Amino acid sequence: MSQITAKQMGMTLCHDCKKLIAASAIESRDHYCPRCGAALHMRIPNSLVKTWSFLITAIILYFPANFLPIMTVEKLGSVTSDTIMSGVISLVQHGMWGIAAVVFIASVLVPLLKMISIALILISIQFQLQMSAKQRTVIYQVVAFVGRWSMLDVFVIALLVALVEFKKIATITAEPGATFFGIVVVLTMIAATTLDPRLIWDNRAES
Amino acid sequence: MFLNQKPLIACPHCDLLMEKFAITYGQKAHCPRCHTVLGQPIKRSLEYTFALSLTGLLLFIPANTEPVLSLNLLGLTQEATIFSGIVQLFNSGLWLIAGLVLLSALVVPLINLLLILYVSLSLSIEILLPHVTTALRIYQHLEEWAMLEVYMLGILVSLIKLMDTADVVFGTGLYCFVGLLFTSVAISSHIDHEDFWEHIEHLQT
Repeated sequence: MSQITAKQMGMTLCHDCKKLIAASAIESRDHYCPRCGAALHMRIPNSLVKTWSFLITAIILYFPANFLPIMTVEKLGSVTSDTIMSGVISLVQHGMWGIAAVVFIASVLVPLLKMISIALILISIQFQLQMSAKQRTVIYQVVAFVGRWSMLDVFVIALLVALVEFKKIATITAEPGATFFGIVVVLTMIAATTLDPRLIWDNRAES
Repeated sequence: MFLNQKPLIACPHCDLLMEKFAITYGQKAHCPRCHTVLGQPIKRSLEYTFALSLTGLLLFIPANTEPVLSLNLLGLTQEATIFSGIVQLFNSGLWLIAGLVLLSALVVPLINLLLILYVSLSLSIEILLPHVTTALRIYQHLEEWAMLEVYMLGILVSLIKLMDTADVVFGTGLYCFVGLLFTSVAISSHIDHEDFWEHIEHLQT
């Protein structure tokens, strides 16, 4: 029984409590898991459509998130606005390479790679591309795991605006770019949860 | 067929059907096809989760009422709590991002602690309290939305950014926050979902 899936045997795993349930229960009266009460589905319903819509919205909002300023620093009369990228650059100019790398990875690299990875997985499922299913599962797991770390910049702003509040001497205020950035992170996190990784393997079994 | 002979399990990430195998403490089971971790039994999972969620709730209060960091600049001092940052964001008109920080750094971590305390209390006294299954399900869905460790990294980044312009002083809140962070990470690594669900199933019958 090396390559038999639960679906092929007419069984499904409860999304929430991971109990294995005969699929006849899904089609008949109970749509709910007898153990935990979660709605039962063979696969996440409309997984691809849902994931695409969250992903495309995220991609669109990724532009204002990066081009609009995320915060404004007012220091003794001089005003500078920072975007995500200009914040990283100014850290580099101050010689803070380590922290610049952390912020760059969390705020620029992770969201970008995450969106590319989800799009790649979606395309590979829809067009049944011959790619290693195991590798794609690993990519999915990494994407689902690292996504939340992109909230880093949002939290930094939340702290800075509270701390640097010295009226005319120095003040930091948050700007709309931060909102777009936060929404992008949330949307990509939702996209990862609506994507059913089992679809990667379903394709392979059929072809 | 073999359906009635041995209990079966399926991999949540690739749907591979397998016979259920016994694993002991300290072992980790991987799916042979996609390598997803299928199970990792944890010793005294229930006791740990119960105790840790109580600890977390106790630490939650000072972590949020006491200042996390304070800044000295030209004789002026400004203190910041997690909540004051949220208020500042709200005041600058960014209510959406204020709400996001409020949820991920404050509300969801609190709800998670309450939910897991409720579930582990119910299982400890061996009585199915109302809506225990719903509580555990909500906890599982909310787990990734509690972002204390990301917030901690945010504190470090802010600290380094401000270090050369002003004096940054650690507040009592920071120590409590670090404690709260360790407790919540410990809960995530000590909770044995499989064991919890089987315990609930056992109480249901």
